[in-house]
Amino acid sequence: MLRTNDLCISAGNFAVDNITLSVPNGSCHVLLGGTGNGKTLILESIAGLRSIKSGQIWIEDYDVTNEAPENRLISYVPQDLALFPHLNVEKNIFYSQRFKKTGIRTSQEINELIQDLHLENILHRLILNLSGGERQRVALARAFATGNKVLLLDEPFSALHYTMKRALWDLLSAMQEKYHLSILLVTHDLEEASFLADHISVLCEGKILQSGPKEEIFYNPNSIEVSKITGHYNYFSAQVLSITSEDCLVYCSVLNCSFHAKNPGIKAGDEIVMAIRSNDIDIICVNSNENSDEYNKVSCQIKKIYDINHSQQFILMPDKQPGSRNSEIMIDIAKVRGVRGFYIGQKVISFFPHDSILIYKE
Amino acid sequence: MSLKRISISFSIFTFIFYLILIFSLFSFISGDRFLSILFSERTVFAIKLSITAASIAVMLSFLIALPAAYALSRYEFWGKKYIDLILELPMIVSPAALGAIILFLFSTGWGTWFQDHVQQFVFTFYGIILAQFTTILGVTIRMIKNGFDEISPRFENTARTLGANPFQAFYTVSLPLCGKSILSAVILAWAKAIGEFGATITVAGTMAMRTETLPVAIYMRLSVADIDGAVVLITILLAIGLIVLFVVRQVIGGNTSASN
Repeated sequence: MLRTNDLCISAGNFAVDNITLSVPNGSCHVLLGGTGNGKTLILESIAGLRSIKSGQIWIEDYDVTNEAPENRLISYVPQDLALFPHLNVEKNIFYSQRFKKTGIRTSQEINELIQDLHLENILHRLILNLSGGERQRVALARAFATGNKVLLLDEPFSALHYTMKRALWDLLSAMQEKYHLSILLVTHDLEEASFLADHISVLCEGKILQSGPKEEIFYNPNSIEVSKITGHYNYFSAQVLSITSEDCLVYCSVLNCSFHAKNPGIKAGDEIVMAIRSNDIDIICVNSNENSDEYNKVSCQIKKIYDINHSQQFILMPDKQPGSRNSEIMIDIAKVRGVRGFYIGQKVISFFPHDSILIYKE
Repeated sequence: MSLKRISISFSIFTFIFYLILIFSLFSFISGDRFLSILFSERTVFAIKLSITAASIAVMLSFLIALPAAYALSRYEFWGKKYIDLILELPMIVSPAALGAIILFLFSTGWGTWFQDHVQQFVFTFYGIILAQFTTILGVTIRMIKNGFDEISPRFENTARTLGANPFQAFYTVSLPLCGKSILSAVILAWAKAIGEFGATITVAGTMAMRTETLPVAIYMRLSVADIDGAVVLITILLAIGLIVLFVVRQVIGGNTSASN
């Protein structure tokens, strides 16, 4: 288990403050955030490669804050992988065997690892002659071969195409389960975070904005900043009309529509921002006997349609507020073979499910 | 005329210019005379002395240059920029001036005491080594530092997380990765030491069969109008220089120039 307590790090004018994380054995904790927010700084400090201003780092019950990197028993895979170009694949993987530490894997275990990662046919190749995916697997094998129970990964799959990435996520999950590893992974890729994480911490400008189970982070972000990092949201200014103990009724003048939503602790008359994920909004054809005058339904016209990988993205313009960019509604809908058939200019109704609307005070 | 043709013409001119200079040497000497001077006791002594002194000077400078270059490349410390600046000293100050500075050093009270009680340098074999060492140390550090600069510290950092201590990371990762740069630095420093003249003659003088390195021997032969002898020694120096350049290019494996 890896724990950090109030870690403060500074690098030039940039500082990372009060980073408290916990990565239980066999779980994956993802640090999610854009570039330049201090993610790599945190990993390097935990690995012992960068000095910290204050705070503690614990591995199980041992305080390793002042230990040298080689004594921390933490494996680190940097973004560029740092595979040794003067050694072949086999020597890279067996590199840690030269420096016997407690818990190091036996040669037999490493050979098994090589089989698991499908590296047996490239053992004598030089690093320069490997593909991107092969390099990633070698870097993981080299890190696993140490026998360390804690693994730090700095955007290891960012340079790979989706199919390769997806295969490596599977492989990493399998290895994590097999070796019961604590993984701290840094990424800006929402899909990667969603696939691998048990727990997510959202990082912005050197501070953790929210930390929790991935479902909580993705479906209940505690601030607009977190929601912007964790998904594609639509944001609309609105005013609270009335509240009950659990629900609230808000009116959005931009969309000229009233919405029922969960009450996050607001009162009538409050100015709020209403946020909804683009893939939580449904789209209904106008001729399907739906009444657009009901709550949570906005009558619109399709302005643009984008084909994005496995989904279609729609930009809708509400009928009652045409022309304003603030009123555009973005919707992502998974492509389902033979079901959809929308076209630009088509009249539709967008439906905002009650449970999916998030309310933030302005 | 295109830019391509003009620029190629200038490079061909350079090649022909140096070729004419080299071949002009051989109009002064016959083959038999060349061999007899080449294998004469005095010439062999000059070759042996030059090789021995240059090799010792390079070894000493390497022992200092390797850790110094690593420190300058990897660490931030007080005075680093001044050290980095002074490395250029042997390149901007004439070797004769450097030699004179060494002579002045040994003329001070401390220098005289050192020569009387520890080791005599002026007009000795050790003086040759010191003169060559002085002229090549800065250059050797600069070349090895450039080699370390090209290697990302991430390799060493990763080695540390894989269980290597700082010395092990240096020995197993940085040193092999910097191997070509180090080897070419050593070879070029050796070639520079072999050809060193200004500082050597100022510190060690011109004593036949005692402090007579190849460049000093050329000077001595020219001063008594021994053209044949000078041609043979110049040819030897040329051969050494060209062989060294060839070896360095093979080691580096590209078009890298000697200055790199």
